[in-house]
Amino acid sequence: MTSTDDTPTEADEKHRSAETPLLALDSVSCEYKLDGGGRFRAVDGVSLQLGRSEVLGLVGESGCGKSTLAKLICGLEKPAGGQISFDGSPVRALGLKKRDTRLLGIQMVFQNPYASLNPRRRIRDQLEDALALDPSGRWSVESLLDAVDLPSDAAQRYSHSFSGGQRQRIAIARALAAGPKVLVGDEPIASLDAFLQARIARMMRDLAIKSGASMIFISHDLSVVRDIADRVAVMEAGRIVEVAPTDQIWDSPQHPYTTKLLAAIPQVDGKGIIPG
Amino acid sequence: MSMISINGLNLSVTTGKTTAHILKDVSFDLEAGRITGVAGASGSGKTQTGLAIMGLSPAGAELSGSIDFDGVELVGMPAKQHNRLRGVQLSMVFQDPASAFHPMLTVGDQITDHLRHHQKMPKKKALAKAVDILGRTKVPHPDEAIHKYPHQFSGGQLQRIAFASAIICDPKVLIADEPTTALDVTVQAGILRLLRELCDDLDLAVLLVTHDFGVLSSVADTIVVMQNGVVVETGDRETVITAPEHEYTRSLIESLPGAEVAR
Repeated sequence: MTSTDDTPTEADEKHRSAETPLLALDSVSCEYKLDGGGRFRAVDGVSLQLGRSEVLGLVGESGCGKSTLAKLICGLEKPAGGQISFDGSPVRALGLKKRDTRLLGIQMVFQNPYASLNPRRRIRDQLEDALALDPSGRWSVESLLDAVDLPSDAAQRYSHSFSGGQRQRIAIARALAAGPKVLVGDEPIASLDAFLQARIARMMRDLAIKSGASMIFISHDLSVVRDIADRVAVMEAGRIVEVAPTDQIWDSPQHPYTTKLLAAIPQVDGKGIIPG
Repeated sequence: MSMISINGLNLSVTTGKTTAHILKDVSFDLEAGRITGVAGASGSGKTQTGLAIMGLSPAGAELSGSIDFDGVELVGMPAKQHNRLRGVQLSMVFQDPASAFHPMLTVGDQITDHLRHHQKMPKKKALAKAVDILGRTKVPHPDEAIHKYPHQFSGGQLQRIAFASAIICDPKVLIADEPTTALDVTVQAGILRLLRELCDDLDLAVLLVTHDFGVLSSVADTIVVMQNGVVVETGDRETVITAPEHEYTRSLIESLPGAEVAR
């Protein structure tokens, strides 16, 4: 990101994001081979745009293709059709070659922090690896740990000495360290306590926006998405059925599937009503 | 008369030289036909309370106080005697249905195992009962389901099978430890409805352990809030959620993203 990008006026920002979205998916699909022949279309003709400094929530039930879509955006999966472009350059699937440096601006936070951190390396080393990718030198190990509310002595420790919530914060710090323009969170809060979920989600949003990045936040927990997303995309069986600003999704959902998802959330009102 | 009455329950676990006090003076009751929800953050001791009733406390655990089950004292009960209650009168459903089942045995074998062991029921009769119970927990095509293996079911269906397994011996107490945490919201609603039905129809005393106040707000009759092994608040559902007395309960409810409806 150049220095002019750091202090844009709001009007500028809106104008430009309307013209060229930071990330654009154009009828992207993805297929998996099934045992014994046949193919399963996990993502089916998805078109989406992500603006600058925007948080997009992606919701849907298990098996609807949310995670596959996240993998496609990061280049971890090869699309069967369609195009993904990030900041003007096409996203190609990761192969044996070194990754295109322009694509390092897309960083991912995975669901399970127990599996995504290396248990045999100190936190400092893992963060420094990611810091080396960001030429701007915006962060240091200490400032990263401070940003995610961890003590600075955490740098010397290994991941096993942290709780699930702390590990997920380290994973967020590592993703931020690379100076991403798009942060993709694939169910980053699903393995955490309900009371931590909202806190970590808000932390991700604040950090992403503050560092000038956009975020795609994937979750099946609609109440958290409502809390942090600017726009919400609802996915069903590989297709996006509805995209709208968060308030609009909640106040006047257009698609019956969205209505069904919203109706399934238990209300914390003490009335003893089972949703659905 | 409560089905289970927990009084001044203490649990400490000693590993090596350190002793951790997991439960401190926990007291509450479970009533037949009612769902008692236990809420708390991870490490608050809510699961350990359930496991103590089942007699499944970890190695090196020391229990004191009293758990009265219909006139029988469970604390300090010899393991052999506890084994005769577990699975028959005291049953449990776990968080992750995928790891609660043996992957290489058919569902029918697994949910009739305790029935055949405890009640010496012949296999054919037990399987017939299994079909009946699976129908009751609304597993599709129960007569085919008993011959299938766990990997052939989705998470929600497996959890229904786990409930079938838990109620097949006509228990009096059902402990459900985070039964919907691993499931989607849409599937969750179905499981909660099932739990409510089973509790009402079979007059079960249910202990529902969860960290989700949304779940408690839907099905629990009584809510117990725990923090660091201590019960900080007990009360009926509506009072605890809409007018929490304890500061900790208030902070838990306010930390939830959808909680503005409650205020």
